[in-house]
Amino acid sequence: MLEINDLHATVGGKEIVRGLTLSIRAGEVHAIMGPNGSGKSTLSYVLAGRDGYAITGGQVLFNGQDIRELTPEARAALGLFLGFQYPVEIPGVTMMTFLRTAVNALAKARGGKELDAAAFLRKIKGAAEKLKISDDMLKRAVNVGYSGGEKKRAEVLQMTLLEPTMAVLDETDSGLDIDALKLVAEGVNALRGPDRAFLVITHYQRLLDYIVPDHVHILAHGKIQASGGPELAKELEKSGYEKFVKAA
Amino acid sequence: MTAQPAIEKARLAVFEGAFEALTHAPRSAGWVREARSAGLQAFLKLGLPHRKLEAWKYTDLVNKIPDDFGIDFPRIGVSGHNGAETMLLAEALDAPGLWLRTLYEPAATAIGNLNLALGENGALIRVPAGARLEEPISVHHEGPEAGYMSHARNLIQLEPGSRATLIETIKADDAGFATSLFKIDVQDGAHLTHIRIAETGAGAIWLGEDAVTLGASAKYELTQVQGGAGLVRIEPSINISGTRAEAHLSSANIGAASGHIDWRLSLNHRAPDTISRLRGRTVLGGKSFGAVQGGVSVAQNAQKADSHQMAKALLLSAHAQSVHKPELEIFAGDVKCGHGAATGALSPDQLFYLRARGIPQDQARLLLVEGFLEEIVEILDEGAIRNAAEGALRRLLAQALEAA
Repeated sequence: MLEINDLHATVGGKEIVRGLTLSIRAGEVHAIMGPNGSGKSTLSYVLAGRDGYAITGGQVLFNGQDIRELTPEARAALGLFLGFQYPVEIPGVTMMTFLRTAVNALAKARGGKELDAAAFLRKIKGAAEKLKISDDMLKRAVNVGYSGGEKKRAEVLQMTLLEPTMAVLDETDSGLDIDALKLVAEGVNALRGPDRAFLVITHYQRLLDYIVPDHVHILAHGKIQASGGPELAKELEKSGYEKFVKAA
Repeated sequence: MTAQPAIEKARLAVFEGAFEALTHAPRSAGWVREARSAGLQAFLKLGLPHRKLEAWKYTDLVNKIPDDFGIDFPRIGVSGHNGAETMLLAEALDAPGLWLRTLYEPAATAIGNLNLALGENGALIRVPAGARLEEPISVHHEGPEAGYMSHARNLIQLEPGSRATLIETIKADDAGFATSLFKIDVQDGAHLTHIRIAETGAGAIWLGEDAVTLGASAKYELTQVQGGAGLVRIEPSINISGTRAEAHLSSANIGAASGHIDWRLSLNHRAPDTISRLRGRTVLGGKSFGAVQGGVSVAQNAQKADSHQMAKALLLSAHAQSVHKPELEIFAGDVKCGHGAATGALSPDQLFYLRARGIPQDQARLLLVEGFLEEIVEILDEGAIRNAAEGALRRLLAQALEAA
């Protein structure tokens, strides 16, 4: 589903991703773990197409299509989703309006039917309830005054409604207490299926107790330093990142 | 006063000529003619306002007004009168009752004097004591055609304890020049909600002045959506003369192409326990210019006056320019007067967030700008008026984003 080959990327002229190779197939959950500054967030922004994150070498294929030159919205339309480490506040735009605009923009781009207000309400209701997102929260401006947990639950709600085939979750666990973490993980696990893949980016092993990955990769210095199964994450928990950072 | 240059004199002759044509109209009764004549003389003495005057620092009228233009009869319509008395000034001038004198007091400004001299039509509205109007009163005003000027004088009186909503729409598409004066009297315990939607096209010049007086416990709420590619300068001057009176002024100022919006206010606290709030949100595309000048003065007797102003601007283009200038003049000891301002561009973080959710760039920009202006629109009750304001907002934003 997602093929990354010898990817090099710069931010502000500085090379952060240096020859990263990763292959994710449909139905798989991959975790990327790495210390601060290893290039985790940069990788997520590069995949989503953020301005200022320039690909200087290598390939990124999504379902066989080269997405390097595509806009963020075009990538989203193809089925790529980025869960933000720091969801952005948008004053004056309610979460409801934002979600409906996004769902309809994607429906249009994917050749589907746009939903009217009533149909959209029906669509959102069940998903919001499962994530304990109240009507009141949906009427508030996007992420404005949300707690850390509310922001991340809202990210999972967006993912649920936008029905991506490939979701990149950037430090979804940061700033969450254990209850919020469980709720978010349940939301993610509910979406797992044979046609969908996940790339879970995290600093800590803790999240992987709840979202159990098929593959774990250690990222340091902009490159995958080691790959393995879930046991690699456990090992990391004991030994720390030091040996991977040094090895690089 | 310094001597006027020759070109200015020639130009002033155009106004003089227009006045000559008007005063021969039979509808000008003796005392009206005298008041108008005095207005003309005062205007000719001072000439057009220029940028050396502090109040006109940001609007260069002298170089924007053409040398010559014809005079046009102001095209104004008033509707929705259930419970209020309404008529047009043109009708009232046929037999001007003494009650009309309040509209013919000497003016304090150049534009006020010009308008006093040449004003030929306008809306006259009286809301009787205790009346609570269910339906809004609408005043629609079309700008003059290209090469013409028009001058309107409007009088709104809310008698004690009454309540009304006035929705004023201005459409000035052509390269004409208009002045419009509103004399608004909100008497003790009365409450006026005033919505003003002013859309101007390239070359249009729209100069407005509001002279508002508030009685004890009176409330005046003005919510504006104004801008476009033309020049719009509407200057509300609010005398908060009654104890516990309140003035709440909000404006969404949206500039496109070479549009110019100068929102200058004078909020005069003249009595104790009075409140004023000013909220400006400016969005500028193209080479447009926007100024918010919030003048607040607190008289010595206006103890416990509470005033706050906040102006924010969003620049959609590198060539757009925004100015925020609060002016505070405080003579009372026990007051609260706050002000704040912020100017910036659309946030790349916000844009990326929306686009990462599949919202195309143009739509994402519009959503962000609408969100920025939401604080102005949300003041309005949901329904026809809010829809009208939102409609104008979208039309103006479409131009601003296009020009950006």
